[in-house]
Amino acid sequence: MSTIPDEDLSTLLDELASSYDVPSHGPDEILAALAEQPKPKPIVRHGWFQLSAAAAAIGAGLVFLASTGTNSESAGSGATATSAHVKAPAATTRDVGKSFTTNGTAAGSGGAAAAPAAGGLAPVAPVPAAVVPQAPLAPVVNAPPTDSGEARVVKTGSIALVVKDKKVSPTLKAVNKAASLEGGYIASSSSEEFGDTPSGEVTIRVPVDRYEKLVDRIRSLDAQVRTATSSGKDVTAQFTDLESQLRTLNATRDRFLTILGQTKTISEILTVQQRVDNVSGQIDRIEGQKKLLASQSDLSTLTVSVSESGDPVVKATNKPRSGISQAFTDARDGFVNGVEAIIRHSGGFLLFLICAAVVLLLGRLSWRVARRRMV
Amino acid sequence: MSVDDLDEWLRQDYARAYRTACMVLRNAEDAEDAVQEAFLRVWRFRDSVPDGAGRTAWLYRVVVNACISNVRASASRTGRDDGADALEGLPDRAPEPAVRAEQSQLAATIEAAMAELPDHLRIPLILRFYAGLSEKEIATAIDRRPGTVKSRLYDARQRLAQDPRLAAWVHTDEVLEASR
Repeated sequence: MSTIPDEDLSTLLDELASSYDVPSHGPDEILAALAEQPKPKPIVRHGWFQLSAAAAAIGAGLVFLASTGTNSESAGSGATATSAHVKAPAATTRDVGKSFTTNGTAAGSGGAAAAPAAGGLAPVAPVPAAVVPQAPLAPVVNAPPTDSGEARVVKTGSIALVVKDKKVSPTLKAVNKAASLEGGYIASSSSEEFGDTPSGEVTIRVPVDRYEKLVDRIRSLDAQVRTATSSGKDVTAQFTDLESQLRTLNATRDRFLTILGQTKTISEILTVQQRVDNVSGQIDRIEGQKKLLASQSDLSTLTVSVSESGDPVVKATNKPRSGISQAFTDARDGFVNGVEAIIRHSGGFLLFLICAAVVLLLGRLSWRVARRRMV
Repeated sequence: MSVDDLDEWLRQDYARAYRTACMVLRNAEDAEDAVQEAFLRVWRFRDSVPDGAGRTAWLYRVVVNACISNVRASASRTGRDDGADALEGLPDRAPEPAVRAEQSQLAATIEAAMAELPDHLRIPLILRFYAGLSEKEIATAIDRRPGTVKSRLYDARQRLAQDPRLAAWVHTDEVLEASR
């Protein structure tokens, strides 16, 4: 039996693929199209719609129970099932607080349930200091190893500190010192030390294995942690993919170099040399991407922002809700979640109603036909 | 997923996704549209993007679906809709002469050979040997069972091996054994 070996097939398809020039503007056009997209509107947000939907769903539920002729016991179990359904989205909403924010970073668990920002471009709502977790920030990532046997994770995070008046500058210095003690360096920094609201921000690059220690050091400074986020992105697959592409391209280049050695005419030499240059260019590009990914996964990035407690943003964020206000908010959220759950689960019931209507209609038609024949 | 994450993903995978779409659709402009639509879908459904290695298969699933949508849209513009198997009746859209002139002889040869494969064989082959997906990942990408993918890959390779234009690349069992 004869076949084309895997490696040769890859080479042939790589050759065909490389004949298509990739438009360099492609990614930018996609990002531009993304920015032009309208922000998605929530499905159920208008009060009248919520009430109508709730009334319709409850009415449909009652009709369903009446039509199936269930006794009070089974009706009770139906009610239990509905309440279970109502609870589910509430739990999901709470989970949002623990999930990654729109910046791709993990918000502190247990924080106020932040609604996903429409379009993902809205700023992240700060979490009250009281609910910022003290546990280690970095998420657990079980990344498969690369060819070189190591998992690649790009780790990023941010900490927002609130300090007493006139303490912004000393705190920034302490942050810089902490970074240098953990073998990191300052990638960028900015500060505004005059005016009513002095503040500053430092971006630190630190070896991945020292990231946790750096976070601990910064947490131990004389400052209150307002928000803390962290994310670990597994890029092992991308890294492995790049390694695999490199292997394929190197094999292709070797094959072309062998062919180059066998060429006889100038035209053949030029043609093959052009292919070699093309493949070499791709190799250089992928090696560049690989180096970038390696650099990103070798050094984690931590952004530390420092502001005074008198900062209007901090004040607004730290203002606690009253018990009644919180209760109203919880009640409203619970109601909306319940309505959403009823609507979500009403699909099966509607299908049943449609089927029942079709069966009744067919039955009635059949009965009419049969009666005419009998007459 | 943030915009930065998408930006990074685009820089990483756009070229490969675009070239995959080019080979599927055999038309650069349509491929660009399809990949743009695919990444916009990725953003729209960013909450469903799996982590880790599954992400690539998921991306190619979206790319292949976007290609199918593209073919459907063209078909509806011309008053012809092939339904679910839109790619099955893909018209032969050979590249323009200028493009063909720039292609290497080898690329032109493999393209001609690939063009003779039906789409249900060609797409798994592209995903396996260009995109580098495993059979299981291809099954996810084209929404078929791994067994179906395996048999389609086998058929595709057999057909390519029988193509006289690719005779120089065909190895017999003896040669393969010797090379091992």
